[in-house]
Amino acid sequence: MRLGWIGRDYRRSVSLVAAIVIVAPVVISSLWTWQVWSEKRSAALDRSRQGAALVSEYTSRVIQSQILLLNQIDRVVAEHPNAEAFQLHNALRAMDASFQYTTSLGIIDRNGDTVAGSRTYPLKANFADREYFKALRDTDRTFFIDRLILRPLRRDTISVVRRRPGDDFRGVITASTEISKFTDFLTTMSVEPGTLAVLVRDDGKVLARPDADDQPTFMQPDGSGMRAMAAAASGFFDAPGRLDGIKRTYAFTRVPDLPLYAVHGFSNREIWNDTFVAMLPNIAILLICAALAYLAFIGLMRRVEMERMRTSAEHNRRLLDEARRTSALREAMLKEVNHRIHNNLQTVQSLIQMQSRRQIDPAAMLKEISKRVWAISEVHSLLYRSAQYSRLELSGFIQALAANPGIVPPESGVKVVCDLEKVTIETRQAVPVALIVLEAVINALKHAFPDNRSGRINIMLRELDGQAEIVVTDNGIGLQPEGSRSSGTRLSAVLADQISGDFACETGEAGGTVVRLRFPVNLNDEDEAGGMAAAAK
Amino acid sequence: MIQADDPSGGPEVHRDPISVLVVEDEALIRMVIADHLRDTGFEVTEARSADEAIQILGGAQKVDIVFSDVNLPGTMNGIDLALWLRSNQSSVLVMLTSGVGAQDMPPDIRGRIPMIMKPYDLDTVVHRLKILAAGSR
Repeated sequence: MRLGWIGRDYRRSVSLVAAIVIVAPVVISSLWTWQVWSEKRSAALDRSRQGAALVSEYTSRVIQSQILLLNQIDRVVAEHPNAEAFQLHNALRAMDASFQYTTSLGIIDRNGDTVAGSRTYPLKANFADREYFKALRDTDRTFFIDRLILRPLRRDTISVVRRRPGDDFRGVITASTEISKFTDFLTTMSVEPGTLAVLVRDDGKVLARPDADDQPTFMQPDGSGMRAMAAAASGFFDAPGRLDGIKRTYAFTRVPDLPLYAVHGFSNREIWNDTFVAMLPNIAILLICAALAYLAFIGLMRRVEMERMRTSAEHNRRLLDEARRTSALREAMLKEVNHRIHNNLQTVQSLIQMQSRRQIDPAAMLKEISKRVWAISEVHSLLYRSAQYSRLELSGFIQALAANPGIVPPESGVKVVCDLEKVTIETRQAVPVALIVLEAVINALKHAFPDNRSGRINIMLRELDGQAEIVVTDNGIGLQPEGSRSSGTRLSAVLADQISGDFACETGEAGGTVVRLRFPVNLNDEDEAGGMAAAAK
Repeated sequence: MIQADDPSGGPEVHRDPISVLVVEDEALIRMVIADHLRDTGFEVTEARSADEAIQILGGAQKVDIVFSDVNLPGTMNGIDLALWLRSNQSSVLVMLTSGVGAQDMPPDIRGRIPMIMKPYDLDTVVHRLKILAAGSR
C-alpha cells in the first residue's frame, strides 16, 4: 500500500515538475521576448521619429529655397511689368541655374498660357487644365504643392505653385524640383530593411517615395494615418503599406509652414525578426537549462524513490525478520508449554503414585491429590495471566491459596494470615514451591489443630540477598513424635532439593510448627526468553 | 539370580538385577520412578543432571541402562548424555524420556535411541527397560 502511495506521489511530482519545466520557459520566454520586442520597437520608433524629422528638415530646405525663387520671380515681374518674354526667360534661366535643386521655373498668365519658362523658349503651352491652376484660380488658396510631370520637358517633379500677387487672379508662378532630389534622399532614409520614408501632402497624397518610379497614391481617407495627422503635428500610427502591404509603424511630423508631412516607418515584421534573432540564443539556453533541470530533477526523484523503496524494503525485511523471530519464539514457547504440560502430567501421575503407596482412605487420597492438582493448575493460570510467561510472582499464588475455601475451609476455624512481599521466581521453581507451600498449609490444617480447635496460620514471604524465604507458622500443637507429617515432609524435602533450596520443618519457640523454605532466585533477564530464542533457532 | 516374577509381563529372564541410572531433574518424578523401579526388581541410582550422571558412570557402580530425561539443567542435556555414552561407554544402554514429541528430536537421534514420551506409565517404563536389557544380553 505504502509503495503504491509512494508511486502515485512520485508520478504526481514528476508530472508537476514536467509541467513547470514546460510552462516556466514558455512564460519566461514570452515575457522576455515581449520586453525585448518593446525595447526594439521603442528604439525603432525613435529612429523613425528622427528619420521623419530629417525628411521634414530636408523638404523644408528644398521647398523654402523654391519659395525664395518664387519671391524673386515676383520681384522681377513687379519691377519689370513690361518685360518681354525672352527677357523673362533669361531672368528665370539665370535664377534656375543659380539653384541646384531647381528643374524648372515658370510664369503662367491668368488663362493658363505660359508667359515664360526657365528651360524652354519660346514655350507655347496652356496649363489651365492643371489641378494647381484650377485650385489657385477658383479658390482663395495662394499656394499649392503637387507632383507633376512637366510639359513639355516630361520631367517628374515636385512643383511649388503660387498665385501671383494682386487682388485679381493674374496667373501663377511655378518652381519645380526633380523628383529624384526627393526620392534619393528618401532612399537614403530607407536603407534599413523594412523602413520607408515618404513625403505626404496634408490631403493624404503621397508625393514621394524612395522609388522615383512609384506613382503618387492617396492614403486611406479614414485610415489611422489620416486620423493621426489630422489630430497632431507629429506622432505615429500603424498601417499597412499601400503598395507593398507591409505592416509598419510610421512616425510623422509636419514640415514647418508647409502642407506637407514627413513620414518614416519601420516594419513590425522586421522588429519581430530582430527580436527573434536576439532571443533565439537566450531561449535556446533557457530551454536547455530547463531540460537539464528536468533531467536533474528526474534523476533526483529517481534517487529519492530508490531510497524510499530501499528503506521500505529494509523496513519490510525487518518486519519479516521480526515476524520470523516472533514465529520461532512462539513455536519454541509452544514446545516449551507442551513440554511443561507433559512434565506436569508426569508430576501429577507421580503424586498419584506417591499417594497410592500410602494406606489412607481413597476418598481422602483423591481429595489431597485434587488439592495438589489445583496448586499446579493455579501456578499455570498465574503464569498465563502474567505478562511474562517465564516468571511467576509468588505472592499471587499464596494469596490465591489462602483464599481458596477448598484448601482452607471457612468452617475449620483456622485463619490464614499472609505477610507477603512481591517475589518473582522462575517458572521451573513455581510448581515445586507451590506444592511445598500447599503441603505446609495442608499439614498445618490436618495436624496442628486437633479436636476442631481454631487457630491461625501465618505465611510470610521475603526476598533477601538473592534468596527467597517462605515461612509457614501455626499456633497449633507443634510436631508430634509419631511423625504424622512425615509423608508430606518427605515430599517437600524432595521438591526443595529440586530447586536447590533448604527445607526445614520444626516446632517453633511458641509451640506451633514452623516450616521454612529458602531457595535462590537468581533471575536472569534472558533466562527464559533467551532459552526459548535459542530453542527457536 | 533368576528373576521369575515379572509384573510387567516382560519376556526376559535375568541372572543379575538390571542396574538403572535414572537421570531426572524433577525430583518428584525421579523419586517415584526410582521407587517403582526398585519395587519391580531393578537396582536404581538417581542423578539430577547429566553431569552428575557422568560422575556416577565414572565410578565403580555398575550401570546397565541410563534412563534419562532429555531436558536437563547443566552443561549437557539428555541427548548429549546419550551421545557421550555412545562415545565413551557404548556398553551402557540408553533410554530417553521427554515431554517434547519425538518429531522435535534431532534427526540423528530420532529412531536410533529408544524413547518414551511423558507422561509415561510406570509399568510401561519397566517393560521397555526389560526389553532393552534383554536385547543386549
